[in-house]
Amino acid sequence: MSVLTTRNLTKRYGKKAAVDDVSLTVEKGDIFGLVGQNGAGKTTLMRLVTSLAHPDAGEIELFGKNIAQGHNEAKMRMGSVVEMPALYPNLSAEQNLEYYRILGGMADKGVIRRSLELVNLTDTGSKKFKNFSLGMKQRLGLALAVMHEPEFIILDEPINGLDPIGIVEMRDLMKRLNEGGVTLLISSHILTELSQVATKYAFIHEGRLVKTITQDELREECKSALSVTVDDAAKAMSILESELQIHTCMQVGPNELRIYEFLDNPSEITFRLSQGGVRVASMYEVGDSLEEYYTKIIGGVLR
Amino acid sequence: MSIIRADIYRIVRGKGLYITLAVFVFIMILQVVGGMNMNAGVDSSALDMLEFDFSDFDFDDPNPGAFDISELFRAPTGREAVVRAAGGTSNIMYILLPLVVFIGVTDFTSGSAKNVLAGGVSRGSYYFSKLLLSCIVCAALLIVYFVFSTIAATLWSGFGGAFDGEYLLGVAQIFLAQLLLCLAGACAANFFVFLMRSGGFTGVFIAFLLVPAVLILGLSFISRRFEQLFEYELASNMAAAAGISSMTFGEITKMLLVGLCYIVISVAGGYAVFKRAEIK
Repeated sequence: MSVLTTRNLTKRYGKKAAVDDVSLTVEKGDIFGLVGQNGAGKTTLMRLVTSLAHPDAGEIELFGKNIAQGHNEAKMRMGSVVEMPALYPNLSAEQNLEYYRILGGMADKGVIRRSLELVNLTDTGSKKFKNFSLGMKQRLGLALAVMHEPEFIILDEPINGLDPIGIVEMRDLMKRLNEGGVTLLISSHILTELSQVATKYAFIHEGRLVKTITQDELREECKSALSVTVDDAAKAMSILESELQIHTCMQVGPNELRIYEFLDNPSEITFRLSQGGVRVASMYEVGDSLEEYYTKIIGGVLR
Repeated sequence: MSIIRADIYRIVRGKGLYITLAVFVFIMILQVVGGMNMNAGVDSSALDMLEFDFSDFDFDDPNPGAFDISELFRAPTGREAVVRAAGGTSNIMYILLPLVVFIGVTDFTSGSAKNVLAGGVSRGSYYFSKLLLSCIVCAALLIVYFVFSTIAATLWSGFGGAFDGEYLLGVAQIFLAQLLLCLAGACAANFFVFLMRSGGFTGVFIAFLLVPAVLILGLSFISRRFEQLFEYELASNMAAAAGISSMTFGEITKMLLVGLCYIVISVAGGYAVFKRAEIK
């Protein structure tokens, strides 16, 4: 079931298209990562989906409803933090959430405590939002986004300003929310972090959607070599060439080889090397990281 | 209604309301104790200075008779307080409307408007809720202004007459006329809030209130024909409404129509602008 569908979505500022003919689908249960440089159009796309900006062309469907025709009930099933978390500077964390609890007509006052507990922000007392660190602001923004238990959450650069522990907590929180059935759309510049949570990616460049790929497909595409550590590298290379006709093999360390064939049958390599009297200490797959893959994709676009 | 309830929760936790109330109380105390008509801005009453013929005034006369200066500074009684307070309600424009502005503009300067709009509240509901809240605040403060002035003046100088139907009718006429004009000011303030959606807007709005009055006053020094422009200026109409009992039906109708025009134009204009606006 699709949670979000955009069809030929376009938004222009003057002559420049910030979002250019973007069609994508976020399925229920996805952690959908938006990948792109600064100014690529990620935030504009999120602003269009959250109705903070109006598209010049194209359609946006949220839970199967076209949001241009109203359908505010569909938007109510969504939580979001787009750009910086924005709350009232002179109110505390609890007062800010109380404001939105009243506004959202939520009868249960317990949602405030539960949301603050979820983001580890229960001990801020009367400290005002304007005195929060960037990390605390991010957490409170997320608490607000999850307070009404939405089915779909949009997070724009959610780990910006978080310390290393905060990043791990945020990552765990996103995974927990996803396990609980929440679909997420996330943008992030920190691709190593994004690659640890996302199940699907959309690569955006200069407003255009360059590629959409699942985590499994990405893993497959990034898979490029086997790194094998042996006790005798020269003997191992000779065996691989004579026994398996492997010619794309190179020595990258005193005892380490990089093999670019037999990626789908690594046990055969272990077997032949053992048979030939070479001890295999380790063998693992090496490949492009998300960052390398992204550079490759965007580099292709730039060329 | 939940937007209004939430905003009331927020406003009572901010300093702005209490600072405004403190300024109000201070002005009222000056009016009641000192008998001073505290006008913060410029309105058509400034033209009265032009009409006073000083050549007729004998500065050596120990008994100035009709021109008793002490009468000017006499503390009003409770019965007189509403008319005196109403004469100074252009203060509402200069003191209260910036409060209304800050209530609305904080949503945009803090960016919290986007949380509400992204969360499924329609732009129409949002706009009209904020507008209604501004009107409620204006009406409430106008009531406080009238009631507090009357109570304070009564405590200081006594009520000074009967609390009868004639008195209540007079007060109601002044209050309703000034309420309409005050709401017109609130709608105009909201128009600017939703048009500009920025913190630096307040100065522009104050200028919007002050500049036309100063401009008309300046033009009136050149030619008295320009005085008529005061009839289209809200602060002057507010001051004029204090003397509604001595106004003709035509003058009252014109004054109320001016207020209504402000309301209709600014509400429609504000909504049209906000409906298509980008929220930062």
